[in-house]
Amino acid sequence: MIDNACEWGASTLLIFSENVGALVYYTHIFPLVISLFLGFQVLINNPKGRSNRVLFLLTFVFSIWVYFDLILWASPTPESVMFFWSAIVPIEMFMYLLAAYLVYLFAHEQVDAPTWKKFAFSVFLLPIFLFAHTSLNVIGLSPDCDTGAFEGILIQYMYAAEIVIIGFIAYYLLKGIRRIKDTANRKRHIYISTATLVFLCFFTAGNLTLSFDLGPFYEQYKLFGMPIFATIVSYSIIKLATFRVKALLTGVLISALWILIFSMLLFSDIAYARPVILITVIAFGIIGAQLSRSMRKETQQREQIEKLATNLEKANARLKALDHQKSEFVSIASHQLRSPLTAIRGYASLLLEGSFGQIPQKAMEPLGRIDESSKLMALAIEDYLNVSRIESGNMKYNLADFNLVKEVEHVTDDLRSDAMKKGLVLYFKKSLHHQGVIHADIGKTIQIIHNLINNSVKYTQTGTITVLVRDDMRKKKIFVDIIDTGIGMSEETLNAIFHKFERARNANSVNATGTGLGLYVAAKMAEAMGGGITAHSDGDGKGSRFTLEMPLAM
Amino acid sequence: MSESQKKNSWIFYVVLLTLFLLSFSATYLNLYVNKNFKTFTAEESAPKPLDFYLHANTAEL
Repeated sequence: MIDNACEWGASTLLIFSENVGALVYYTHIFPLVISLFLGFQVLINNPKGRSNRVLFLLTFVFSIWVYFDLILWASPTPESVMFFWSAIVPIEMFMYLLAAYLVYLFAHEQVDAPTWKKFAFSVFLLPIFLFAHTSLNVIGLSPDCDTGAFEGILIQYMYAAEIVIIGFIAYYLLKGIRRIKDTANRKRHIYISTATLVFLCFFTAGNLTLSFDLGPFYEQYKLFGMPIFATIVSYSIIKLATFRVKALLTGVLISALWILIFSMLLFSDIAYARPVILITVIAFGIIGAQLSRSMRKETQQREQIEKLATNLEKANARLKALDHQKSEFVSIASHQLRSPLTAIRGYASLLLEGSFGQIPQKAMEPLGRIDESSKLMALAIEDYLNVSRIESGNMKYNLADFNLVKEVEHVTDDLRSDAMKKGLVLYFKKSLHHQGVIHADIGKTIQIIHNLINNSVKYTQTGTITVLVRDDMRKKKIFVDIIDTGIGMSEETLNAIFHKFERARNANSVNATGTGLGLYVAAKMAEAMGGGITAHSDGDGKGSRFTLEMPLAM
Repeated sequence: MSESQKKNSWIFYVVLLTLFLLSFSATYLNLYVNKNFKTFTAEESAPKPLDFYLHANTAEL
């Protein structure tokens, strides 16, 4: 037994020794700082995010690995070489499993893996837990300082398992690309999974250089996968807000990385590594500047959007309050107008009927106009009140079963005289496989039918109006079509006809009066009773078809 | 995540942590404290590591 494997002097913090070359520190401390910086940044910004925690753990475990490896370089006492060389094995295996877990989370859009899958993947660790302390792991200490110790079959098993895990990660990468529908999530998955694959491939390639006895020089570069991983993750954070990290901190990360790489150039005893570092500085400088510019732009845009969103929110709240006040005003005003109007209508009617004695013939026409106008005004007020009730949610529906066919026929009969006055023919037709019973508010249904047929009469100058009642037993629905040969509607009018205060653009051509609320009220009432109204027209002058659709009471 | 899933997840992490601690403790005691390992001489370690390892699997272990 020898006291010191390499007969080196004591080390500081187990890792700083004058016997260790600058390249070793560069290849170790640089990835370690980057990995810890990235891990903490991601964790601090969203400590509850599952993938944030996994990424932090991955970077933390990686840092422990790097620290242990540095100990092996700087403190080669026999027991520390044997212990840290052996202890690094479960750490390395765990790091690969964490990387696989991270990719799994992104492939499944942050949905956690079932516990059985976690147990199944942990089986990779079982031989290592069982034999890590035995000579199957590290066979024994070598007197050669370059080799340190001889690796056993357990380490070869770990290298093989790492390749299998890389295979699983590649599988989850492809699976995620296929299954994720959301574009941003798919991009996030591609960035993080690719970064993880690059990181692990570097690591495994470095391990294999040892297995193929290429010496410790190439193995040093296996940790370079971490800066590449950190760069891709940072880019993903800036571009896609992955891990929900603020872009501002990413800028700090980029600057820190660049300063760190640049500082390595100042080491005087690493002349042989200087070209590699110089290329890294230039490449990272270009990428970093690009990232910083993109980050600043996006941060400004985000701030502007947030400001606009806040203003919009305030404006929306104000508009809602105003809309509520307006509805209340309309409701109160309509109620106030209705009472005196009822009196006007009543007295005009009594005067016309001669209840107050004989009225001179000269006064009969003005009285008739008063009666007619007050009727129109009452209808308009009723429309305003209905809109007010609908918008405040106070419209009451007394639902009951009734025969829609009979009611439609009655309304058609009532309006036939109005149609005939205009020289129109109003037909009623039916094509039914069912009695036509529906469960709805009979008064409001009649109001809807009346409104639709009345509209057709108003907007048709010549020709016919056909009211067709039909049913569809497969859909369990009944339809009332009102088809006319009237002024028709353009595509533009069709899109707006069910909005408040909207009337057909060519309405004035037939001199029809109206508030533009009738169809809005009818459509809202039909929807509230489980039905709906649709409109169709081939264009101006080509007639219209309005269809009321209601579910059948089966 | 349901309560039973949460419980299973906790069991998994506790088992994993326990196994890690046991493995590290065993490694620490066996190799660091008790120094229970072999130190090869220069002659013994003369073959290249991979060749030696293949040889050692059958002859030395």
